[in-house]
Amino acid sequence: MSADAGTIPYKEPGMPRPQHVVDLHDNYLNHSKGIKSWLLTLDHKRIGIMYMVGILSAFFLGGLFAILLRTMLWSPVVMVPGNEQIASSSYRLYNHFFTLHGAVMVFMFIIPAIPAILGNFILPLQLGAKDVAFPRLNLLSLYLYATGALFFSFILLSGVLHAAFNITLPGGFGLDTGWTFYTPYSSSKAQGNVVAATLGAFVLGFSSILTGVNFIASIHTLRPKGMTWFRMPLFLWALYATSIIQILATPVLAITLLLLAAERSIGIGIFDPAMGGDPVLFQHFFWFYSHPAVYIMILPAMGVISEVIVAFSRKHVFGYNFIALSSIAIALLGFLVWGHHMFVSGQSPLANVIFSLLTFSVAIPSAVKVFNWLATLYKGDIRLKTPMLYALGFMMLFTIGGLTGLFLGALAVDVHLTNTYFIVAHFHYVMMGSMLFAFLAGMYYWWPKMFGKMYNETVGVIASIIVFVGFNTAFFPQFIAGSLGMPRRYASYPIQFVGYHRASTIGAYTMGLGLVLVGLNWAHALLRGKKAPSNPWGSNTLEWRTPSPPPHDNFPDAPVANDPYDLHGWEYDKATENWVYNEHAAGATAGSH
Amino acid sequence: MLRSVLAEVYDQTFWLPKGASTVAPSTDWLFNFVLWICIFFFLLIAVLTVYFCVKYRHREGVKQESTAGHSTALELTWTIIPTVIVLVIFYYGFRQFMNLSVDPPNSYEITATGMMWNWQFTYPNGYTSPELHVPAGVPVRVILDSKDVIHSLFVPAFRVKKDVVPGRYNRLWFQAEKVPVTDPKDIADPDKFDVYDLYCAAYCGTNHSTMKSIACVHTPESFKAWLTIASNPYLGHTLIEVGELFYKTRSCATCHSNEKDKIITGPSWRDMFGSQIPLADGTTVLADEAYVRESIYVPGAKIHRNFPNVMPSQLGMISDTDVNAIIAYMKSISVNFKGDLSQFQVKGTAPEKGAPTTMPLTPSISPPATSPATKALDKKSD
Repeated sequence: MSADAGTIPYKEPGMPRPQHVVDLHDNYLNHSKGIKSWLLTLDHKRIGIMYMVGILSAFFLGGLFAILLRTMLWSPVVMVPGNEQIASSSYRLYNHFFTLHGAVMVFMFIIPAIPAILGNFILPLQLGAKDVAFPRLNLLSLYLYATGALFFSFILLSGVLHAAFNITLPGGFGLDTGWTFYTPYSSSKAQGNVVAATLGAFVLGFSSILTGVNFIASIHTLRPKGMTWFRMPLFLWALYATSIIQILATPVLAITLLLLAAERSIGIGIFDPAMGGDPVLFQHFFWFYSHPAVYIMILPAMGVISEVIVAFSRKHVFGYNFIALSSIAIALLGFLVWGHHMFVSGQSPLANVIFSLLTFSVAIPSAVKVFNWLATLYKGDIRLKTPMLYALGFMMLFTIGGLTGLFLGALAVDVHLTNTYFIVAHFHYVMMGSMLFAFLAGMYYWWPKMFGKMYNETVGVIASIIVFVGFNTAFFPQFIAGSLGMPRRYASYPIQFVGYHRASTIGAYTMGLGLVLVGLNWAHALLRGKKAPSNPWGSNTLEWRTPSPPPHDNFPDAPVANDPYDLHGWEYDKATENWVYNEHAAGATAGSH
Repeated sequence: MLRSVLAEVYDQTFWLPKGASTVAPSTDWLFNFVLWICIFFFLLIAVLTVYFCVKYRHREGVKQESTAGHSTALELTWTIIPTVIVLVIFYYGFRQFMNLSVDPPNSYEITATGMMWNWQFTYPNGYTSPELHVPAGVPVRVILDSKDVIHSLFVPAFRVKKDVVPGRYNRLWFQAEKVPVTDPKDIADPDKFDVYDLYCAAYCGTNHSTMKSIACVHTPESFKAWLTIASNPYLGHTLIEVGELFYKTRSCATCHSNEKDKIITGPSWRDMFGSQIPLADGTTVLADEAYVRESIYVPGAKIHRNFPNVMPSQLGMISDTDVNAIIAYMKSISVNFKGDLSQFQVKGTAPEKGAPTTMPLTPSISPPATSPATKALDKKSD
């Protein structure tokens, strides 16, 4: 520690706090210059921004392949005319497409997006702290992410190039197992480079674990004066619950992938029945991670939504305690429902019944959260700005995604629906619709804080409507196709489903267009955006009490926290387009609710 | 007798395909019950959200009223009501699932074998077909087994699905609904049946989406007649015709074409018999009866230089007698076969007792002592 005293003096215990002269031109972006100052930074804000670059690139890659595979599905038979060998190679290409899309989106976008970008940037600010508890660990997790992501993408893209153009890169045949790596196909039949791909996912998993450790330690040790556990912003509760899952569940995935690699490369029989293994055991291991992982995706999203709905309803959140504790309840119950992915795998009917019951139990806290957000809107002073539109979109999509889960929890109906497009639609509504909408809500909401620039509101609103319409056009028809029997992961499909698939494809293009507009809006904001005030939305959480963008050390002086959702006293100042705190007004109305 | 083209019988409601099994109505009832609950709650939430956003939208000079930060009574209400509803859904799902899980003891038993990327259905008399044929009005138990990776048997019209896992026997059961017979004389017609789609629902590799088949529902009389005729393909057909039939129905045609310059996954059968096959080690082998038989039962033994070793063994799935028919067919499409084809062009007169699959008790990888050609001659003298 002492060796580093020169570079990060504030970490040295007993050292007097440097007195800051408030310099309005100093911020974390211009605090130091040069590529080295970014690559070796320990500043959580810069790490968050670098994560943003990486994760948005991964989202672009995954999205591109979503568009490509939807394009292939425009036609029920594979578009290449001629003989079956060409058809077969086209199936192979499709299989690489959907594997790449799923694996990149899950491991490199959905799981890290909110915790690693918004969490890294906002968590220390909401804690009124200078950084996370372990800044070096934070940088290490960024490098693990970058390494894992580059390696994993390289393997996956090698497979695509091989299937499409017969070009063989060191990544070989890539991966065509789907992101789920089901055995024994992955362990003994798949031609691809499964071992290398599992290594990529393994490294990404460690990045996730380190972020989780860091957040838990930060929330336990760095809370400011006045911030008791039940005065913590709900975004922090959500990140706390997420971190618990990340550190408990991710090691199980790591072990499972190692066992898979051991079976494939040195022939230890664990999952392949030809070697004395049990393929269903893999599914148990895999879903023991991957079901909780669904909550790694959705809990931070719920945290973002709580913040945004409060800010744009100008009201205290309804039922704070319940929302906070339900995050923890979801995190813990989420560990007990993995078997609902395997209702038709041949596991015992008794196990199926118990998993079905537990699955319904985890639905309750999610449902109540929606009602609480709805009650927050009641008698509010609602402003339909871009972040709020995405939050409302989240509420609609999450409601559809959650309600359609009822079909799948009901055993007999699940038997008919599982592994069809109904499942595809359901998890896209939950993982993609809900999580992506919350991510976009959060990005727009914190954008002024992150970059000190305002985005264009009109373009933001238009893009949010296009994305919403596109999303529903893409995925709602899949519920119908699925309940009519359309199996998932089909490169070619029976003619009666062509209408649903074409609607989906049109929706995917529409959504892609909307997202391009979002990207352009952000780029424009970065280059030409109006300067952002310190608190453009009038929120009361601590990150809004420092200039936008924040200075290198976050706060000139350690802030004192109060109830994060008590918005009394914040008044809009038209001249500066900023919200300013008026203690007199706060005193006059405090305690009236 | 055999359908090479998948018939499209497609009848559906908005959400579900037309049910064709006795379990379908209960499953559909539960589906619709959940659907209406979903519609109700979605509309409730969506309408309230939109209403609040309009009614309480920001207006200059209007301050929002202060409302309660929480309400225990309200929160308990919207916790307890959904809890009761999901417990009701759970109960009905559970009860119906038990119906799906317990097969009646008097069920008719069919074994379904999944392999990359075909289905094979074996009937109690040992006959195998790539399509699932069942009698209506009789409970049918399907024993599921896989030769390689996990597959999943799915018949949407029957509302049943079960994974086909290598190394373990899963099972499912259903009872197809009675087929309405308009003309009494059709009752026992083996060619009159209803057709439903049958899919593999678990991703199983490159050609997963081609692992489709059909489920054919007969009247019990029609099913009996169909099975009798289908089990005895030699009756009324020449050996070459039967070989061609097997070529199409035993999934040979999936990978081997019968045209000159058309390559699918494996080598074309056109002009193969009697030719010299180049092997990976640079030597060649004569494609005679012994080589063909070995390549069917032990495909990896001698691999053609230009093709990967991907063919699954057909040991226990195609009988010796049936291999003879396939060889006769290969001879008939090869210019390299110099023998007399007319001996294989005599129609069979009696049911061939060896036609159903006979499992060799011990795997035999040596070539047969007598050549298939002599066997074919023996058959003629029968």
